[in-house]
Amino acid sequence: MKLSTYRSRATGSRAPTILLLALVLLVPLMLAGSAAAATAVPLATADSFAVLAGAGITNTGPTTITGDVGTYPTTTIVGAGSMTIGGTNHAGDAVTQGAQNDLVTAYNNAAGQGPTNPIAADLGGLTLTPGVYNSGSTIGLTGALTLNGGGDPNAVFVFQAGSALTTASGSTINMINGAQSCNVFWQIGSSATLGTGSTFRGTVIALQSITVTTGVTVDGRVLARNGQVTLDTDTIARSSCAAAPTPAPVPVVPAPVPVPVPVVPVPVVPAPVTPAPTPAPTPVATRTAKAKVAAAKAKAAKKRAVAKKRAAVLGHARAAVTAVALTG
Amino acid sequence: MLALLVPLAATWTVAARAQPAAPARFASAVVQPTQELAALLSAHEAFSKPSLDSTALELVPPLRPLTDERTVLPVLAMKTGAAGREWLQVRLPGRPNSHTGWIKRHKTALSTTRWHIVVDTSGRRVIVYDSGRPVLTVKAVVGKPSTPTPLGEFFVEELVALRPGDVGAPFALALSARSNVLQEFDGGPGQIGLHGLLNVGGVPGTAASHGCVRLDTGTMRWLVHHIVPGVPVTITG
Repeated sequence: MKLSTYRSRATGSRAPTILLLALVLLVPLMLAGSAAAATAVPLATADSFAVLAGAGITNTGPTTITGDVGTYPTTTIVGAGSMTIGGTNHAGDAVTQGAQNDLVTAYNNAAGQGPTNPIAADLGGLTLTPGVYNSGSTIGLTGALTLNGGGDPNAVFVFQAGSALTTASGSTINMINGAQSCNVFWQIGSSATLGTGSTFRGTVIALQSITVTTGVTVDGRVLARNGQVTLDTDTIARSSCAAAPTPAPVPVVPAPVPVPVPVVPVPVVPAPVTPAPTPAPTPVATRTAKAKVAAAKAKAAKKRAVAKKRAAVLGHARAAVTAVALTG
Repeated sequence: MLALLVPLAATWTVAARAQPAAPARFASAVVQPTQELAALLSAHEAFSKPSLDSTALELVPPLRPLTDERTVLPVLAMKTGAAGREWLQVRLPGRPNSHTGWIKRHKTALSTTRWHIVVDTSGRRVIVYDSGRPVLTVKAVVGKPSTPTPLGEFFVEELVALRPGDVGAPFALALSARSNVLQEFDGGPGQIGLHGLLNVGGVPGTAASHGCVRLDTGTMRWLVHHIVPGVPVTITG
């Protein structure tokens, strides 16, 4: 089948190879002067999950989870009775299976973002601006990490670890200047361990297991592709983005209501007029805030609906950007 | 939602999902419960051996040509070479069919998949495995005797959403396989794919195609919701 002309393949002549090499070399040079652009990782159906595992969930002590919970292909959840789940426990149902599939795409998206900024082995004491940060091996956090949104509530931070993420006891992540936990993503090449009593922010997507030790507060998600998620008296709340500030709405002046003209012939009996109830005056500031929240909610709902509809139709398929010429 | 998309065709056999199992065997195919995959974060030179001194085979671009989706290759082996450099033996797309090479581990992202597709050309059917267990068996149109579907070990290069009027709509899973008969087809490299029946036709269970594997619309919808780039595909005779 032929839909249009076909692009040269890497296995063909060397000309496209040279061109590709040139592009590969030139693009990083062109981007070197600018910050590494990060984009929000599309979680698709995994978005609603606060805890997602591949090899079961083990919980000890009272743990509070705001968001959905699931594990697949190992569907065992130990200690579910002491978990307070402000969402749905999908266990190993079809929703969890779909979320695990989407997590693969999300992991690959996070791992593939760039250009990357190299980071030190320990992030403690650093203040970072939005971007993609990469460590070929482990990422550690001792003390406090500060993420500076630079006034942009949509600022995205993507951290890529070739192997493990380990945060120390009592470590924290501070968000300043509009940075939001919903826009922080941690792609972990092996497993993640969050230290006792620490405060962690962002969505962890680990290839293997995630251990959330005692008394950890997670403003985000812990999503393990193949391994287990271990919890112990923790608070995990799926982070959702606050509404971005919108321009102040132009005051709406209600149009005058036309008065119906009676067509009844004489004698005219005027109908009793009931005065319309006058709404209680609302402070302008409250009305503006409400309008902002409503607009943001509507926009987010629309975006979710479009993404859901697209995922439901296309799955993992992508539209062709060039020819599709299979043998048919 | 996904359940609504799965057609209840008589040809389907949907087995219960289960724990990972030992490798399953089908004809000459060995289906492992999981398969390691490597997503390329940059262009990679493939070598004949895990050494920069060996023969350079080809440059593998980080994105696939049809959809600009990231290149994801099945990993067959890992090895640490000179200077502690880590190498991955990967299956490569294109000719010669089923060829492999070694790429550097650096600038790749490793993951695993539980999925494996087997195309049984003699039985004219496709079997999809999850964690080594068959979860879907469906009849297919395979290559006719003059343009047979090539046999061997391949993988899904990319998943393409076709337009409603396109041949083979609604979806195509473009494979790493190339026709052994047609070196070029309609301007393309004779690339083999699993695609739909729309605008091309064919009766599942017959050998009538130019080499591609045609499946009904419901099956294609199911596949694009479960299969990702890099998933291994074994085509047996």
